Formats: sequence, structure tokens, C-alpha cells
Amino acid sequence: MLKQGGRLAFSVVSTTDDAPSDAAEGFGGFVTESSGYTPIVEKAGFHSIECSNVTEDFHTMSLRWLSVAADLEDDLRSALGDDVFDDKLQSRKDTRDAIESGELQRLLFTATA
Amino acid sequence: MTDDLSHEELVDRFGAYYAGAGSSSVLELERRVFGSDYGGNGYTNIEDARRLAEYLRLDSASVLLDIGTGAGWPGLYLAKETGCQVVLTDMPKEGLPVARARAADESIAAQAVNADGSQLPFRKAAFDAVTHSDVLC
Repeated sequence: MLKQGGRLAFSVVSTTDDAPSDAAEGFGGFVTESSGYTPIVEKAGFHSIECSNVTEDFHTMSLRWLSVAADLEDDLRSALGDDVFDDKLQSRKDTRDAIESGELQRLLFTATA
Repeated sequence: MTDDLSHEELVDRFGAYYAGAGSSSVLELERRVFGSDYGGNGYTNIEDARRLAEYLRLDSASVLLDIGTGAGWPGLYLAKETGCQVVLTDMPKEGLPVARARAADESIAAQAVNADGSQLPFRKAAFDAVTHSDVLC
């Protein structure tokens, strides 16, 4: 889909090398089981592939979301409904806990076609 | 942690959230968490989005594909800031009308397409840049 010389940038949340082998399963499928994306991107024909670990920012954003959501909880429950809000809140708490226990990381990849 | 969910359940789960994406409280949440209210949901904040614009070399001649956009983040913001055209895609369909409405309100050159990131309906060499954030394809 990309033109020759076009650029790709994507982030993934993945388990760390220290995480239990089944750690990704608890996140409903939006966490990858490994960080082995570089060979995949390379195989797809990209070059100048770079990977940055942005877990510190990931943690900051996770904490910020929980803090702001607590401030806005009543309004968010009205807008989203209790089930959706509770689901989202639990997911964010699980993510925060997994970051703090060293099981989750966030990686930013850039590459050129 | 969440129970294991099927692909369809995951799509429904995100869709349920995006259905409320245009509400005033969700927009307020986005502004305070992400620094922008163009549909942010994952972990990409406005500083990250600005770095994306720079890395992807976006300008008014660019066509950007944003995979897994939800309600438009960060593609809508990137198009607004750089003048690029953007194609927004996601599997949950609920956020796409929110993104379309915002694009129309602000005259942003955007199309929103309900599509699976692993089977995108676009021709070869259609895009100058591709981005996606925390999405599995």
C-alpha cells in the first residue's frame, strides 16, 4: 500500500521477556506475545527499521488516564454506561499493574518502504 | 484481567466505547489525558502525534493511512495539523461516524472506512505514510 520511500510508524503493546508465557492472554487479544516485530517488518520489505522502548511514557499515560477518569467518573458513566465504563476502567488498571510488575512494555517502530 | 475474548467480542468491546466517543465527558477525558480531543483512546499523546507527523514527513501533498483509528486518533489530528489527506480505518464501525462528523465540521480531508487491518481494500502504492497505534493486525 505504501509508495516506494513511504514511511511506516506503529506502536505495539507487548509482553516483556520476563513475563509469564501466558501473560498476553489476559488482555483480550490486544497485547502481543512477543516483541519480535523487526524481522516481520524486514520480511515485508521495509528498511531503516528502528525500535524504541516507550514504556515509561506508556506508564505515565496509563496513570494519567486513571486519574482523569476518576475525576470524571460520574459523567463518563452517564455517557458510556456502567458496563462499558467498568470494563474500560478494569482494563486500564490491569494494564497499569502489568506495566508496574514488568510484564508489559510498549514499543514504537519506524521503517521506510 | 479480562477473560479471553473472541475477535468479534473484542470488536464489540471497542465499538461500545467508541459509540460514546463524541460525548462531552469523553472529549474532556481526551483533552486532559492525550492533550487533544480527536478520538484518542490508546496511549499516543499529542507530543507523540507531533513526532509522528515529523517522522512521516506529512504535508499537504501526503496521503496518510491510519489503521485502527477508533474515532479518528491520531489520523484526524495529523491531517488537521499538516494538511495531508487521511484515510481512517478500523474494524469497530461505531467510531467512524464520529470521525466523519469531526472531519466535516473542520473541513479535514478524511475518509473513514470500516475494514480489517489485515485485509485492507486499497491499491498498491496508494499511501505516502502509514501509522497505527497499539493495534493488532
